[in-house]
Amino acid sequence: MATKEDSRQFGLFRMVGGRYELSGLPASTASELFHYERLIKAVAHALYLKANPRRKRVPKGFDKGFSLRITDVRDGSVVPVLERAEEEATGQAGILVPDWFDESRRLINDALRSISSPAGGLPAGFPVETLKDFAHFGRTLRAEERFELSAIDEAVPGIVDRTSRRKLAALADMHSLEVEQVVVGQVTGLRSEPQEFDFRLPEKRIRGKYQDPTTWEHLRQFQGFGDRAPLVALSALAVCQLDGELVRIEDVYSLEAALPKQWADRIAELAALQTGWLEEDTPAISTTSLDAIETLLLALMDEGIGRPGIFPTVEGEVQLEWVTDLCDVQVRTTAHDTYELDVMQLETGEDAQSVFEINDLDGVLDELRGYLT
Amino acid sequence: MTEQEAEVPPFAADEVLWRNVHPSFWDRNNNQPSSQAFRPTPKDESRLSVARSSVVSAIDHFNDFTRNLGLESSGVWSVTVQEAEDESLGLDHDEHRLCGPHPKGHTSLLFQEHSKSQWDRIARRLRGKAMKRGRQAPPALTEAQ
Repeated sequence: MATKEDSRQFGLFRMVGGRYELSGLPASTASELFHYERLIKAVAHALYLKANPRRKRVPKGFDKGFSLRITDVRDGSVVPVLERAEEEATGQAGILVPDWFDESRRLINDALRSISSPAGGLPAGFPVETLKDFAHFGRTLRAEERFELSAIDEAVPGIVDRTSRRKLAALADMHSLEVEQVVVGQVTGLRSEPQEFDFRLPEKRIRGKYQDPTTWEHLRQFQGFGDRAPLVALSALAVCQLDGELVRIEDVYSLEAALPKQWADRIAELAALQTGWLEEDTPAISTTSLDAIETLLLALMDEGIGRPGIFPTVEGEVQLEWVTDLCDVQVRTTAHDTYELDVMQLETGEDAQSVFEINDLDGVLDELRGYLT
Repeated sequence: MTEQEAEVPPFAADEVLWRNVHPSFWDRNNNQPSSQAFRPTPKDESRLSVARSSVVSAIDHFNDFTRNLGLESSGVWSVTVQEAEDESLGLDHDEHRLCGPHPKGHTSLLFQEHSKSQWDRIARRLRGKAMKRGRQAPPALTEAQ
């Protein structure tokens, strides 16, 4: 077990990938370190009680003074240097309190290594009653991000990422997992009592909650122009099944238009067109078409494909148009719930058409990439 | 030949033809007209309206179209007679034969010799050429018109 003479540094903690490759420390790090500290304490409590079966609770003051401090942030992804506070060299009443916490840290690292191994189980002696606390740790991690937990004498780090979190949740017999993530969809209903809203995703509708009453006003702004709501990106605490499917939203931290203003404004212009906008019987633009194009535009933006011209069609659909030095590219929605892609080579006059189901965004993007990137 | 028809000047290959673009067919933030603005609509009966630069200037055509006739336009773009002929489009300076109000110098580009699927390709090529020249009227500062 660790002794008073050991380094005050509390293991090695490295944050890798995504936002952690940029300079600085993401604000979400604070909540992650809070959950990490809470997990350390929970496991330490469990270890103590297991070693002292006659006790029903840990001694008074067991974790008093145990807190992690970030004393430095080193280069190389993000490496926060975690240290224990000075006053906890020994605990109350002569109990070697810090030893339990250090043992807790080692066991957590062992558990992370173990669940990533082919056998995939927990190490012997790991207190399973702490698994739900464990599953909370890492909930702000995005798909491309991970935490690596190790120590000087541990060559292989334990990994916290979405995969290890799902395994932990499965081991804890949890059917769902809380994940902080950006969720894109439409606000289709909003209530102040209870503080809930209806949220439409491309494939289904879910229920959402919000804890801060002032969020109501922000959500209301995105309930839409006319009868149609624009796509909004919620930074939220989401509840997902272990396969990653979104079940509901537990809280909304912030929200903003999913598309850049100029893109969203253009969609709003098209949504506002009334029947007869061009000729007496020209139909208004269908909501289905607007929804499909908005979803496609969001995917285009994520792909880094430049903004197209966005136009209504006389059939009440929407058409996207790009003109490059080499080709003229159009994508339009149809009344048959498809995207029609049409490419005309400017030099040769050759053209090619393809049709994709409205939910086959990957197909459309694969095709467009060949011409526009 | 009537007296009015006799007044129709011949088409020169480099003569410019003005085309008003409906506001919904101009994506302002992309400064891009839609190719749909360069093909006839269902009610146009295969004829695309333009106006001749030998008869009217771009800004006068824009003002004629919007102020005198009360029609909507985001601006005037242009194609040349040569470009229209390259697409095998006929030209009909029909200003003097039209009934009801119409803009000065009105001319029709005739699409009837082509299939509907060809219209789209022709319109896209014309739009590409018009985009290279840019909007001819009104000047940017009077966009709000």
